Amino acid sequence: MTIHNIGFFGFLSVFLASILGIGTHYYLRSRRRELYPYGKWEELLKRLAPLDHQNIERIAADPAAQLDQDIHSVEAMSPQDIWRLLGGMRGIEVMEKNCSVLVDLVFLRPAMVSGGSTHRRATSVERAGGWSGTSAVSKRPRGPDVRRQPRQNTSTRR
Amino acid sequence: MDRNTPTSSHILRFAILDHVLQLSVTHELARDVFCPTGTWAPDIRKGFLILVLASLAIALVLACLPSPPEKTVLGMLLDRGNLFSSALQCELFVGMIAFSSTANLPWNTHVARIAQGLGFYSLIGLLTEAGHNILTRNTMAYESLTYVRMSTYLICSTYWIVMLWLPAPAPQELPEEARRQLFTLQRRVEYDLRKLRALKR
Repeated sequence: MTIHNIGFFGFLSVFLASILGIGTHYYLRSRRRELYPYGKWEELLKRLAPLDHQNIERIAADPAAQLDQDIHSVEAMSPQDIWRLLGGMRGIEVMEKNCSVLVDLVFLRPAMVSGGSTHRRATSVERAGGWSGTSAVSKRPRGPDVRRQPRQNTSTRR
Repeated sequence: MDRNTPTSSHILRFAILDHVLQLSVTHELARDVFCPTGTWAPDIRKGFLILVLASLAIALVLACLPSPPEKTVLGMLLDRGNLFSSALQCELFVGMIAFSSTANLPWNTHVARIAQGLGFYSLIGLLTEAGHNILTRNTMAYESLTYVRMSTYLICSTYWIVMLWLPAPAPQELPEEARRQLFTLQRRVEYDLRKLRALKR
């Protein structure tokens, strides 16, 4: 066997290992997705990114955001204020990611109900994602930016 | 048999035709998986183009590496060409599996079964052609590898016949309740969007 052929077999081995490794990885990933189409509960929780909920509430409480208000007759927040309170582009991106988690949760809900522990799981989502009221607002820093740390409260308002 | 006879040139033509047909099937499979509505997703198309170029380069390097024993030019060309073809097919199929998994596209249809069979055949073909490139023609070992490749093709053909005979799995449908919720959500988003636009003015 020549030096060329030894090099060829070395390259071929690396090539085969890469092909089989990548193929197996993605095949197992597809299988996992078939078994859990919307992800496991724990994985969904990990995907949730916490938001500064107080700022979202301030925007929601703005008179212009009320359904029965004529937006031309009230003093509304400026677009710059809303943008700042949302946390800018990063805040929008975090909300977009959380939206996809919400959609997955819609599909996962029947499994939750049949599991018989809906309330416990819903509470854990709120803890992880900060979908709660104002009971623990004072425990975290205030400000317009998106926060990385999960909020530690136990309110169950949905 | 002398490889420079007209018969050998016919073999070369058929080998090229075989390779072109395999690539055409691969393209058809990719088109069916990644653009079923007739439009390629922009991110997938760009990624697929990169995959094709990278696969071509790697397969070319792999086909140029072996140093075969004394052979005619045509024989060497055929062996290297077959190795190139098998390596390229393997890379493309693995890339397609990766893309479809990333984009969450279905991979359990009849098309996927054809791709799986062709991918397996290419993988075995890669090994047999690697052997063909370092062995002398008309030896027992060389011919054995040819039989392995032919047997693999028969196995794949049987797999395709059975899989295409079985009905394809029905696509999953959205539950009615979820459909209603999404419809309501869409209406709400449209309404909020109109309000936001009015605010902007």
